[in-house]
Amino acid sequence: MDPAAARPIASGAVSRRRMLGGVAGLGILGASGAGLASCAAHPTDTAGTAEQVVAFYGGNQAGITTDVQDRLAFAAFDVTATRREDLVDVIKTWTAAAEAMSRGIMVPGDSHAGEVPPADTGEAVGLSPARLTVTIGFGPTLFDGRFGLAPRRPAVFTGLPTLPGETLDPARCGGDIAIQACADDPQVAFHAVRNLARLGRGTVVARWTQLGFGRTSATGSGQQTPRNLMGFKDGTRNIRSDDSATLAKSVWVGAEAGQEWMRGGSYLVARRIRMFVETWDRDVLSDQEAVFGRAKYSGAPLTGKAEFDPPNFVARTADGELAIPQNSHIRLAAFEANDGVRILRRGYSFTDGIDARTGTLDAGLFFISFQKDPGQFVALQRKLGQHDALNEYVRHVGSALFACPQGVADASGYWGRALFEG
Amino acid sequence: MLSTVRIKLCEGVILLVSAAVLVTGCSGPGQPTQPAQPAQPDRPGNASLTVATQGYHDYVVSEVDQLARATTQFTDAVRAGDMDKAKQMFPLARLHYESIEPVAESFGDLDSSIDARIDDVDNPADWTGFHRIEKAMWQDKTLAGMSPTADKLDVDVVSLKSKVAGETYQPAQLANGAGELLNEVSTKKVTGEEDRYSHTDLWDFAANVDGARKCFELLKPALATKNPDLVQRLDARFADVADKLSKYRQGDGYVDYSTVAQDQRRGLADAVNALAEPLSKVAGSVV
Repeated sequence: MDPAAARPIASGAVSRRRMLGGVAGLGILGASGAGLASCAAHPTDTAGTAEQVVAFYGGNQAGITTDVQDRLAFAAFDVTATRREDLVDVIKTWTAAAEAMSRGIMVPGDSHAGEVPPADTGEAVGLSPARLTVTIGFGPTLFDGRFGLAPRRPAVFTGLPTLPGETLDPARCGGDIAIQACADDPQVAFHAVRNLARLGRGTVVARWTQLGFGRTSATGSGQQTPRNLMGFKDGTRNIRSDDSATLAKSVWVGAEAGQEWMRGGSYLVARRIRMFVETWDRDVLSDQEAVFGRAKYSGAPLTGKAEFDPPNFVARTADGELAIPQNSHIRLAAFEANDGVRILRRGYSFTDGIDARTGTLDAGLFFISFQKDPGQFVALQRKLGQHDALNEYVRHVGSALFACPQGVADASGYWGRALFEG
Repeated sequence: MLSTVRIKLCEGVILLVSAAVLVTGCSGPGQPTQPAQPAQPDRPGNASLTVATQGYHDYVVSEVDQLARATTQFTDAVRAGDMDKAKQMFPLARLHYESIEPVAESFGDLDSSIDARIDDVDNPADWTGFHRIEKAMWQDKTLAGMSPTADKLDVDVVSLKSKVAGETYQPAQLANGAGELLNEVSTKKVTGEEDRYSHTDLWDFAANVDGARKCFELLKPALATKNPDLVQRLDARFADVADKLSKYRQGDGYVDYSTVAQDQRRGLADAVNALAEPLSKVAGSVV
């Protein structure tokens, strides 16, 4: 072999694209790690271009202010192990695997030996990193007596209270740990969750999962506002990643938490919101627009002409009615009407087939929001759940709250290290 | 039906050869510049593996002996129309089949003759074996007309007995066979589809796990020197499965599976899947 042809990569760190080139023609024969890493190297191969890779390491976790990717795979897990060491072992393994997958690298530890199952399940081989982010959150139940974490539970982190407008299915609620995987390719996002579930087997079991097929929010300052399944632009007034003052005020936990492990973290609220799309589709355009408070096609507030025109909540029509109706969604949700409370929304549209009881589409919004205090969401939902004109067409059927710890600084760290060791 | 153990062995040999090509030459897939190195039959650690494979042969022979004896008691009862005795012997005979099922499956049609479910056969009129009689006992509630099926089952079990007498095994077969047994549990036993008329699924469940445990115990000395962490983990997870299963013991056997609630079944499935994952790494450590 020609040593000059070999790239300085560890045998376990095989780019998915390089892997594809390397195995072509091998058929079922398999390959040794050494043979693969050296034979398959091509100078033009890269794990992914810079635009396809979102940095994993940093003070905050990726996947929160990251420009919202197109697809979501979300999973909530329960810990079945009883020893804290076993839980920490899995989280360390997960961290390394998530970091590798973010770069388009296969799950570490593959021997490429024919006698063992591959370490990576393989369905992302040949795909780009697709801006994959993998974000972890810890549920309130993790802080019960099992792992000695009760003293580290932040005061604000007690779980969500019962809220108006919800009919919750216990099978879609809660969880000890959440993994949010977002990517521009659905298979890359799914691959990440599947592999973490596999790596955790014996220590954690999946409690519920959710796929999201289309983003419904924008977080990037240049990102176009997408539409939800009701056909309306969603997230026009969302917090953007370049608005660092608002992020510091509303999203990132600071020193006030009293729990160092959450400094730079954020609280994730997940709500599966079923939309009754059939009845919505039978509603007339003017009423649909009154429900949201925006024009359907332009996305402009009913008091403006363009999407980003600021809504005028005091303007009235010629006959004296509020131009943006009293119970319209954008009025009730506006920070101006909620003591300045804002949340960063990062939800996805979902569909899971037909509701067997009604024959209607089981579809809607898998709402995700990040906030520095779960109370921000609670305050907004208390109000929306009671008064929002949208309630006629939606119902919250799943709910969970997770504390997403600060980011991992570098390869010496792991998710939640300051929680488990600090 | 699962693919046969024999095919797995063949793949294992090919893999050894191909790996040798790739580590010695770098001219690209499919164009080796050096001849393939033959797999070395005598490698370090082989002494304990030889003991393991011989031990497995003895285990299979012993299980099939017990299967043959219990099956005769079962089929005698069927021919005599003794429903109570036949029902009593049904799970007792089957467990000696379930413990070595991957081996039995390697003998072509024999497995389907002995152990096919109604979904496995093209024509229900051709359906034979344990589950045909199971349906007669628990669903049709009569043994009338079952004598020919009982006779055929005897013949098939005798045939199995003669086949396993001369069979030899490779270490990878023990490891992969153990994995197949747990896959059986997690896909067919947990769902209750195996013994859908008698609800004796937990007997089969336990026998599958026992068969897997036997493979692991035989490989343990070789595994302990190469991967002690894996041994420790597998010991703990086998113990966990045994602990969960023990909650459903009743008399000499197990409770009717229809009385095991969905969330309890899920608990059993989680324990088996937690065991199956590390078990899949055993072959790589002993081959």
